[in-house]
Amino acid sequence: MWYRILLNRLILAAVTLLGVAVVVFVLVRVVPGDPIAMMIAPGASEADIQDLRVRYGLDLPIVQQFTVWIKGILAGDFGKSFSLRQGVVGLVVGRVPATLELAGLALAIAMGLGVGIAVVATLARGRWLETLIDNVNGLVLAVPDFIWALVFVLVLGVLWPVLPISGRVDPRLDLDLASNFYLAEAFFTGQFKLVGHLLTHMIMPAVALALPLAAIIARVMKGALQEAMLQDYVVLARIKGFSRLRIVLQEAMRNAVVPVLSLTGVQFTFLVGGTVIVERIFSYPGIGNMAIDAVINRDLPLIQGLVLAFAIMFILINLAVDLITIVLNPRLRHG
Amino acid sequence: MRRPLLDIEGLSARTADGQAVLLDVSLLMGPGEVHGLVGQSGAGKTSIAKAVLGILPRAITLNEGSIRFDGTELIGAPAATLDKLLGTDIALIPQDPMTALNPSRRIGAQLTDSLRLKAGLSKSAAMERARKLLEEVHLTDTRRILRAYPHELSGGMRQRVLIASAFALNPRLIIADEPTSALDVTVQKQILRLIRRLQREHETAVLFVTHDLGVVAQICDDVTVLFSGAVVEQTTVHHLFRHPRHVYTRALIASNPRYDQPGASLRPISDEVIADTLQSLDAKGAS
Amino acid sequence: MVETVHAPSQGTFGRILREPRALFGGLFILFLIFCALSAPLIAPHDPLEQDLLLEKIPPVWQAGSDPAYLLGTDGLGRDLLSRLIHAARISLIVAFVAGILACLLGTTLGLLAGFYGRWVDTLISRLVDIWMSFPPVLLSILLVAVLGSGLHSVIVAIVVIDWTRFCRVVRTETLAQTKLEYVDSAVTLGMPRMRILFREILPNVFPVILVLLSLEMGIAVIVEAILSFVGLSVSTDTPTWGGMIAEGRQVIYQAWWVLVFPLAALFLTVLAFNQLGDGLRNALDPALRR
Repeated sequence: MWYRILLNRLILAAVTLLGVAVVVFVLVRVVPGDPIAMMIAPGASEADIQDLRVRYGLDLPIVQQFTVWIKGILAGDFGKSFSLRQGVVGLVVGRVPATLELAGLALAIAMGLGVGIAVVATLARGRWLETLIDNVNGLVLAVPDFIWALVFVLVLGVLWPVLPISGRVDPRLDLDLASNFYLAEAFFTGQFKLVGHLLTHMIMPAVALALPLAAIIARVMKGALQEAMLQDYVVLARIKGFSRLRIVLQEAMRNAVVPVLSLTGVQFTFLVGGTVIVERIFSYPGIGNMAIDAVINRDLPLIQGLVLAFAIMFILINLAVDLITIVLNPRLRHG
Repeated sequence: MRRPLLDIEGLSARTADGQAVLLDVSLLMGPGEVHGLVGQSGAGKTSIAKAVLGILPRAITLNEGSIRFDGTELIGAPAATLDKLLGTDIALIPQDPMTALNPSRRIGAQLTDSLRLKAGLSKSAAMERARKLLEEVHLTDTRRILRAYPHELSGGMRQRVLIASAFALNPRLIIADEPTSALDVTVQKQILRLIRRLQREHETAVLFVTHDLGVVAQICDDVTVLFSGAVVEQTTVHHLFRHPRHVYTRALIASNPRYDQPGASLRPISDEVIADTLQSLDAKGAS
Repeated sequence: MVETVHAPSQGTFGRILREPRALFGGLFILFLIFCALSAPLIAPHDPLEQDLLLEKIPPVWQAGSDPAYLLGTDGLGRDLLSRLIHAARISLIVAFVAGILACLLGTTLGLLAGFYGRWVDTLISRLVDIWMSFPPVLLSILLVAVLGSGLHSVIVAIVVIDWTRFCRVVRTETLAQTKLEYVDSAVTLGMPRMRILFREILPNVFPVILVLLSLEMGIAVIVEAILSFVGLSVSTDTPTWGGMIAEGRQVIYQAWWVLVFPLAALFLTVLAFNQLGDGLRNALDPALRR
């Protein structure tokens, strides 16, 4: 049963990725006529343009262009960035870890906050604290990560300057790391001082990204918990004389997790999307920040590479959520 | 009667919009007795059970009376007192075995909760005890059942698990809330016999909530007949079927011609009887 | 459940006025519209006038301020209040144009899908599914990269990405309405299908559309601000809140107020559209109350 679901999802993932590839290809090539027009520097000669056209295979028929392009992609050749004059793959792969770590940290914060708030609100059912939580939650839901990020910069970076407001590390720091996964590597090699330093840089963008998701998780989780609290098996646990906290965590939580999880999957893709602007605000060197530069410079090869990198991340997130859902649901696992 | 185990006195409850749910209900149960609480749906029998367990819905408030368990007042008792009594001294066999088990936890984990938390057994000791409990309720292949999730068991098996769980800590009072109404007829009889046997072996008092006089005849010592939130008759089972005093009781008995057969289909009670009963209740309330 | 009983004389409008969130949101947006329309009249200064001698003057309640510049000046000595008022224009243009276009497109398709069913529904629903499986950020990056920067790209991007929000909900609502008796009786009366759709069904779906539109306008304001923040919206000659925020981010250590005021304006506007939407939801559709 479960492996069929998984197989379905894998096929769907492949189809989605192909779809993204086609959309990228079509949008870039078909909509405003000629991508070369966007690439050339002002004052380029007609011969230069023709030269470029041949180099990028744009003189071929469109179907042939697509096969050439897709073969290149399958071989890992995304071409060269127009503005940075380096291979796209190297540029993107070098930046992806920074974004992954930021998004991962934000997700952890969002889940911790969201679940914690939901549990507190469930325990406080019918009291003023529940009303307060609902109202604050509604406010947080209405405000996007873009605004949170700027508020944090202003409050914690400038008015009460306790945290750095830009970058991933202090550039004066001598890093002794082999990979670009700074946070993970520092953690696993026991450089806890560096972990702390990295976190001071990451905490504001991560929380800004996390808040809207945390509010959604809190709202949905609270609903699911309160529904679960009415179930017969929870009432029975109350009659067994267990504490309210224990009942929420042990009886209600597991059954509330599945609906929350499937929602978190979708919402997490929005969070990853949010990294684009939040990285910009904090000058954080991830692929989101790079994407904005690529768009400003109309660097088409780089944009293609970045969009596909994002798409792969989104697909992997959804696959992971499906897997976890299967693991957590005994009916699917055994059925 | 010896010192009563459960002593409900003058209990009245109403909903938020003023409708009476319970009207001056009194009830005495000695240790080891099985007391039937009979009435049609809406008569208030489940509300009494819930009041004893402290799980009345918010919309219903108790405005008068007392519920004493072995001398301890339960109404308004501090949460710590209730948490100590519930599960150890008072347990519940719920109505619907399909919903009363947590679908995402293994039977073993659910059965050992109380044993570990309330009786302080180690994990392995609790598991061993749980296995014995399952044997006591006539389940075989107990190791497999302990590892199973609820959806892998039939309704009858789940009800046996819940009965085992109720008897786990040897409580003095078990509240059985229509424990057989969700099961099919053949399983019903087995479950009733099982409850009766365990109750005798453990000398547990059982407050048995049911709408089925057949069930009462088979399992109870005493019986309280409820109508519209008020007690219309309270006597021994023996006496009830020989000399039903109240017109409503007679109608109730008449509606179930084969009370020696639990689960036999009921005949409706006529409107006149219901009107008469209401009238007599009014007269009682006025006096 | 006892629903609140409304006096028969009290219409929909009265209920909206009774809803404090809708009232706050609506009044704030009316105030913004007023500012935007009369910007040249009420703005104390020319929003583009630079005076490097008057740069980074703090707001009036701070030491070293100048009463002629209520909210102070930015890094180029431009009056913040005037820029703030003028910038409301771009935000509102995007909110209304993009919001209404996305609404028209999505609503039309949603009505058709819900009313005609069969292959029309299948076609439109599939399209929506495929569209929504594409993360909005990617689509907007691609669209802006292809279309180039400018107000029209911002609006096109919002419409192209967000029409599905309307389509999905309107389709479901229309489907539900189509099953109701009044539609049957209209059919028996021999009314033309199009007339039934627009005269009978649309008015009943309208409250939901209004709620969505209000929320969508809030989203549009944010998207415009983000794109002008990174310099992909209108040219920097035109004041925008996003552009002002970007300028404020640059001088944040010297003049925090350059960032604070546009950020506050953006925050309040987004909140206002949101509260208006939520309030309308409560006032217009008792069934949706939770």
